[in-house]
Amino acid sequence: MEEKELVCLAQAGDAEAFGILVQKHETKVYTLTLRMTRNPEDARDLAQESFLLAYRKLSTFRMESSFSTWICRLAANLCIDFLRKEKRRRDRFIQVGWNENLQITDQWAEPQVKVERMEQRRALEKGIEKLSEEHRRILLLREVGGLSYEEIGAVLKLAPGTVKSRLARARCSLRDILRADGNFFGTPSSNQTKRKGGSV
Amino acid sequence: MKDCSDYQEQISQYLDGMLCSEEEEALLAHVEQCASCRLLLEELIDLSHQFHLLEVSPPASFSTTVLRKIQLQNPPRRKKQIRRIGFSTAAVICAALLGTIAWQTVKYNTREPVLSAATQERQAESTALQTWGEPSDARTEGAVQNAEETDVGQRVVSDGGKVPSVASDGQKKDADNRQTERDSIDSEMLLDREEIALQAAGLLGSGTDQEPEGAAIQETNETDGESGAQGDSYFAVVTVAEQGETRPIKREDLSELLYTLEEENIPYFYCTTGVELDPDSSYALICYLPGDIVEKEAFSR
Repeated sequence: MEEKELVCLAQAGDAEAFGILVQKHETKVYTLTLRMTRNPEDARDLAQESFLLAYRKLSTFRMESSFSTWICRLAANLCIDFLRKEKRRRDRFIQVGWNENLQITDQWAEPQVKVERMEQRRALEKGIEKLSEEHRRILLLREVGGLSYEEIGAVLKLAPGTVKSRLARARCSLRDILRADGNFFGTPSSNQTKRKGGSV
Repeated sequence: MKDCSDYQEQISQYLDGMLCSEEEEALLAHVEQCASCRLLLEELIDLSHQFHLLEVSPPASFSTTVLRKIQLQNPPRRKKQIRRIGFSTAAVICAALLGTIAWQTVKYNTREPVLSAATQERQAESTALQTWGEPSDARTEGAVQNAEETDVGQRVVSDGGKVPSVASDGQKKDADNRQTERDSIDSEMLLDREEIALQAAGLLGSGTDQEPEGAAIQETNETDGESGAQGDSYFAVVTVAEQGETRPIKREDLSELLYTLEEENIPYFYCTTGVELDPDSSYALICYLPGDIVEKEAFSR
């Protein structure tokens, strides 16, 4: 069943259809809230609250964007509000940040998972943690949440021009961090210039 | 002329598909010539492809918990819809019933003048009876005489609490002449009703519905002085249109009658004015006897 049909059914009050939507997008939403808050419990609560909010606001969803983007935007707003109010991100990172990483690593620790990929992932996590708060948030909203520039501007209360420039700086900054680490771009392929929408 | 720092932002936008075709061509032309920008573009593309590595599955019971919370906070809408449908259905049924009753009322009210004209004429001519419950020798004698002498009697018509009338012989003949102008079905029904109504009139004063017709009427005549006290024995007369039967009922028997009608799905209507019965319809008319109007109202409450 297509996502639009599920959304229509859910808007008509079909809880089962909404349940399918939750299962379909829970990983993405949870990843976003986890990467934003860096705390599994807060991330779980915020992700659940995101879906509850989505259910309450479902009648206002006009399908102008994908449901995925819409729910991620709701989650991003909740995360931003949460972090703004709590102001304890740094303390939480120091206390539980690496434990969380270990836990996540365990989830990936399957026999078939290559060591190289695990190292690449760990390097990425470290690199993101080293970013400034504003660069990290904007990068996660774009790369994990899939929000458009306009949506990012609405969530972070930034002008469109600021979104473009800050996102570019965040990418370049992360790239520099990962290059300095030396593990992420270990095997660069000079001809891999495919982008998401085409090739160079 | 742009330098490499100017293209960094464009490379980022290029990754997101935010450049127009002209900007894209200009960027790619620069990248072909600039090794550092080409490397930056390649590595950012590689980087953007690796963000999925950050994905983490939520706890196992995540979706179940979400749905449970939704159900707790929002009762299923389907039940509301069913409830709404139930209310709507009930409203439609009530409207249909009210419409039917209103239609029946209008239908029989339009027939009423035909019956009332004759009735009023008879009432004007009649001096024997004033009320059903009123003790009167003349009334009783007239009723008995009519019951004994002719098969054309009076109608059981309570017109706004006024009394049904019993016509004299001459008046009855005039009424009979007018009666023959009606169609046979109505005439037969009226005759039947008049006969039975007359019986009911006789029984009103008797207080004994087990007695034969003549005996009851005779007893009414004999116990005329007690008829006022016993006039409440019968509460109303009931006519089932399909059966053409009119019979008096006691108040204590009313509930059983209504139960029977409901069991047989026969709609019933209350009336206090004279109406004609439609022989093609199936319903019952419960006509309160005028002497009991006050009690009827009390009963209705």
